[in-house]
Amino acid sequence: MNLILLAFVRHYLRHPWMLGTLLCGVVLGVTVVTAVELTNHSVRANLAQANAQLLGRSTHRILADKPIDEALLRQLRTDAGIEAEPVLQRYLRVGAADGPLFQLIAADSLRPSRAGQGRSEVVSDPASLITTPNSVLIGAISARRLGIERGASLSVQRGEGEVVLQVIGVLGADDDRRFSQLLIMDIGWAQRLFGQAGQLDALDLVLQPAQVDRVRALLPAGHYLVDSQAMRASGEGIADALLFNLSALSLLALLVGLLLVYNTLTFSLLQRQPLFGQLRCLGVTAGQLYRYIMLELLLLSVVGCLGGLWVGVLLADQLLVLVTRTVNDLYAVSPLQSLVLTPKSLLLGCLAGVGGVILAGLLPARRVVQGAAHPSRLRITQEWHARQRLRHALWWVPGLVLSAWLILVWPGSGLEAGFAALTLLLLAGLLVVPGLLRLFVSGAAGFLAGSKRRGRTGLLLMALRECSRGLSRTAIAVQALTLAMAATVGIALLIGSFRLTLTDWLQQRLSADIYLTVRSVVPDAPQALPTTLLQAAAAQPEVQAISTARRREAQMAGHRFMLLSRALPAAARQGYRFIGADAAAVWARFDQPGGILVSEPLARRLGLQRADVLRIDGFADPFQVAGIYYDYGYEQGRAIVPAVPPSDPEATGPRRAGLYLHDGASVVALIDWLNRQPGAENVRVVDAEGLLARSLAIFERTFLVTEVLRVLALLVAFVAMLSALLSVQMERQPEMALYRALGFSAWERTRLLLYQGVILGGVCGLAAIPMGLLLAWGLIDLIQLRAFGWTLFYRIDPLQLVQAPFLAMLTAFLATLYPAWRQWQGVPRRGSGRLSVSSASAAAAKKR
Amino acid sequence: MKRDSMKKSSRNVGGASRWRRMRPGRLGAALLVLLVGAGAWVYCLPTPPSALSGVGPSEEGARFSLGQLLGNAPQQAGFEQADFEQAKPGQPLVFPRDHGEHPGFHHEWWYLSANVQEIRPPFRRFGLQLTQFRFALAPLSQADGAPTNNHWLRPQVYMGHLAITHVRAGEHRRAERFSRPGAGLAGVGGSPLRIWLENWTLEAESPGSLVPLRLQADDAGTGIGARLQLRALKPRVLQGDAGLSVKNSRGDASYYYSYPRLSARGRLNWDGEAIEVAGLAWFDHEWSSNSLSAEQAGWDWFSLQLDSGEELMFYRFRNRDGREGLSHVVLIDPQGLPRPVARQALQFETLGEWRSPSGVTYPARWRLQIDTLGVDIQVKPLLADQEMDLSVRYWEGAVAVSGSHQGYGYVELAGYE
Repeated sequence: MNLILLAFVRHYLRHPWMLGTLLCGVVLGVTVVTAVELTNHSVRANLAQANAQLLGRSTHRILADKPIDEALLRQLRTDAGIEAEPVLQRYLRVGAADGPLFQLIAADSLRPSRAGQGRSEVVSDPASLITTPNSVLIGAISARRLGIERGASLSVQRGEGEVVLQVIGVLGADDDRRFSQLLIMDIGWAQRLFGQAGQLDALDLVLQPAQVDRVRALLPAGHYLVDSQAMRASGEGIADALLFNLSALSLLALLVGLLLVYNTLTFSLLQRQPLFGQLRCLGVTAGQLYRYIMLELLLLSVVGCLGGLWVGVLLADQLLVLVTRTVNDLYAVSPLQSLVLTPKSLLLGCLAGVGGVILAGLLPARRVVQGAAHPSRLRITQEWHARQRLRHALWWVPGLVLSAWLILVWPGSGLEAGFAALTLLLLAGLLVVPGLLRLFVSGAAGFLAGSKRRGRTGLLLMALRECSRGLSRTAIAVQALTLAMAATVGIALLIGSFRLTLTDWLQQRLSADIYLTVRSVVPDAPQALPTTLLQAAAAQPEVQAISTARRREAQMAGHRFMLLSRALPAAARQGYRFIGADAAAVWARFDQPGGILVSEPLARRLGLQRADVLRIDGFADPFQVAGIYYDYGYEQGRAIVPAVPPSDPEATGPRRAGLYLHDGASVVALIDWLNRQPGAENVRVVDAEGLLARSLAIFERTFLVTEVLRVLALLVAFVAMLSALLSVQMERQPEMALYRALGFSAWERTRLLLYQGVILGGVCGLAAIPMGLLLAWGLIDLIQLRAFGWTLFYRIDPLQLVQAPFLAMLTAFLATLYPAWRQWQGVPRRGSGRLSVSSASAAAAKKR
Repeated sequence: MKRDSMKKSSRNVGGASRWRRMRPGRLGAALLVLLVGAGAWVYCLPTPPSALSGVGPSEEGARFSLGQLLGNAPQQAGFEQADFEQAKPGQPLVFPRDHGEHPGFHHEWWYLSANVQEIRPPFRRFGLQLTQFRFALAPLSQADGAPTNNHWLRPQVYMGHLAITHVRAGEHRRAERFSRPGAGLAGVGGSPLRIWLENWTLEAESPGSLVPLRLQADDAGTGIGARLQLRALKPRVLQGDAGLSVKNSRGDASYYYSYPRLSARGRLNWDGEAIEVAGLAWFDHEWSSNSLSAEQAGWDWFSLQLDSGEELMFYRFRNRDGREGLSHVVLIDPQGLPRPVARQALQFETLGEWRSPSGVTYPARWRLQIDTLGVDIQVKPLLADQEMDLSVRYWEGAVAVSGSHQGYGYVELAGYE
């Protein structure tokens, strides 16, 4: 076997912990990146899939705030010659009330050739779908999973209760995800099943650009035309901000991993510098040496990547569950939850790992190879160079801060710019950290040196000075640790602030005593609260006022949002807080015709100000913004218009109502009374506390994924710290031999190691506090605001701040255990590091 | 220089060959190639259908096979032919009732063809065909018993074919539509009677009678359209035995009547140009529940309107073995009286063929002789390519008659492959 390769292999065999550290760094980085990339891709693909199932290949869609009369379909097709298809769409649960969620799409089964083709191109037997009552086609992939045979009866839960469908065929191949959790039904039977004879949920159109205005002119009031492309885009991009956040967090983890790799590599190469020097003397050219090092990096990174990919896929499977739930809670219904393993995502993780390792190794490899030509170069010169470099790096700090500031004030800079600026600021902070360490160490050393108890603190002093002296080997590790700790502190602060803000907001907003909501096992069911129940409740003497809310999707300037029409009694109005405006003035304007309240996220997305005039698709008259209210409920944005008087009998009734009671009235008694009323079986009656608890539970769920990533980052940080300190400690083994020779006891040597670890960890932990605060500020004021349009109120929990140095020191302590244990093992092992140059050459000679 | 000396020294120190054998570059390159190769292989794996792939338009899938509906639809849907109503002797046609639809029968069509000419110079000649088909997806008895006004639940499908032959331009354009009766998109009914599929309509002008009739059809995709007024120049003719037209030796039959001579006047639309035209038209209405019997391959059908004021209608079934199956010849005199002609009296000869772009060879010119009536005519398509290459492929085109009689007509050639 090749001598050089053998030498390299031997090196790692003799330093297995170093190999472990290197692989650990690569595996961790690649794992987190791959897992998040796969999860994000899967969530996007699933959202897009659900959308594609729904929208087919139509170019436009007509929606309305009430069921659409199918006369409009005839008018469009017969009179205007427009390609239009009827659509009914519902969510159903298969089996029990907690069964899997399916999307049911009902269209004209005969016309696969037109707008609906995308979803029914595989319907081979449209006649049976038309002639068999309640017949459906089910995606083969789901049929197989649920063990449903062709011809089976399928019991499903719809909003109105249970019903049995006939499965007469399957869609697609067994592994075709396009038909996952999808049921296709004929429009006629669906109309009958949902009691909607003559009525449609939507019309799908295939329009030429010239036809768009003509169709718009044909639409009756309350109907609006939506661009399917925009709908698809907004449907697929609906969770982009969330996914982008996750990606950024995963990149942070990769960065920590690579810093770790960089650190260990530098260390490992420096350690082998004498060997390289010998090889050069034996006639190996610099180029050859360089290539061997690159080969080593490539091998290491490939092995690390394979491990990372494997663990990443396992992790992604778990993450997807969390992220899908978050997406469902926050944005839209996405019944699909399947992990999409694309080669692209896997390749990306691989490239990140291999590329990152090679990149991380380039610089130290060059330096070492060049340095190897001068084997006489002393460690002291290396340290001097390292110190010079650190000092030079400080010059970058003002530039970085300035760039970050410029990016932030750049007009129209968005979420990505926010991340870029935050990255620059963090980088600037990191560059300062080694300087801080030196400052701290020299300060502490000066203090100790001047103290009277100098004899007792001699070991501590030694440890302090050693920290400063070994910066060439520890600077990057220190930076990696600080970054990782700062990330956990920052994210913890963000979550804490969010929780505080949200709890305050919910407590204010949920001001009614009792809430009524429609009880439904499927989302988006069109049921409303029974009017009789509301009237009966209003007639009760205990009830002071009732607030109601009806909601629908609306579109304005191409952006979809939720439009609420609300009856808001005075008591309910107290729950609203407005941005920069007097509440009384806002309510006065709201009560006038055309008044509208806009949520903060919507205002930020569309750049709306108070008193702006806006037009909502499907409304003839414009609205004027009465005020902008803080809202954390719906990230796509909401707007409130006063409740329409019930002049339109077809309009759906309210889906939510709040009851305000007179002082002293019994909430429990009224809830009991409400539950006994006819029609109450489909209504969920809860008191304010119950609703608050449920809302907070949803919040906890949505932040679970962020929490998981935080824990992951913490894990990476922990391993990074452990391995970095371990490297430093192990390198000092020969030094320890010297101390032993000088008469230091094992206990004293252990203390020396321990001191050094705790000092490094402590300084990193301390530096992580301001950096964590910086990160929290960035996440709250730059990222969250730009991504979601939420103003969060800071809540700094001292416990979370202290957590960082404490954790850092604990890790440092753990990292010292193994080297310390070695101190008690008697004779130090022969020849490691620079004290045993001769042994390396001896080994080489023996081989020959 | 320095590097060179280094190289030399490496050779001198020994193991030079060993260095050569195991160059790190080569190993690295091999590893890289392996990695890139693996990447490429993974990349080229059959991609799991992502959300967007394959859901888009697929031209192949754009066809709705009529074969499923017409050919063996009853059997496919689990119904027997006998589940549908059958055309039987002893059930005389009743009008105006029988102008309307007969949903108990499996299929039915209302057919109108016209040979028209521009009324002003340059007197361009056109052929026009509009047919509305109805297919039952299930017998009436099988339909869900619950009473409903929901037309989506009626197991009927309508198909429309519209074609215009522009003789001078040498172009034949055709369009096809499908619709179900739901939402009033298509149907046959009302008083006055209306036969419609979206905006293609045949509408009677007065209740109780089919003629005078108005035709209105436009197809934006092909740029063709027509608005014609049709008046009967002759009374309707009940084909076969008082409207019962036997189709094969099995005794399968259809109900069938025609208006063999209608005056047509109105406008044709060709790429936005409105062309005033006048001419003659032919109307058929036929319904039955049987498809071609196993031995039958297809049919040739001629409807010729002669200058003498007579019409000659001739159809013959072709058997799969190449022989002629059941056939029927009738000459309608100028007063509208149908005079059946014995098949033996007609000498029928195919003079030429035409191969369509879709690869089907159709007969293209014919000679028809009825010696007893002094008829010896040649029938020639006004345009060779009048193939209806739609869900069902057939040839239906305007023809000119020459020889002992002059005139125009329409020929239908079905079942050629």
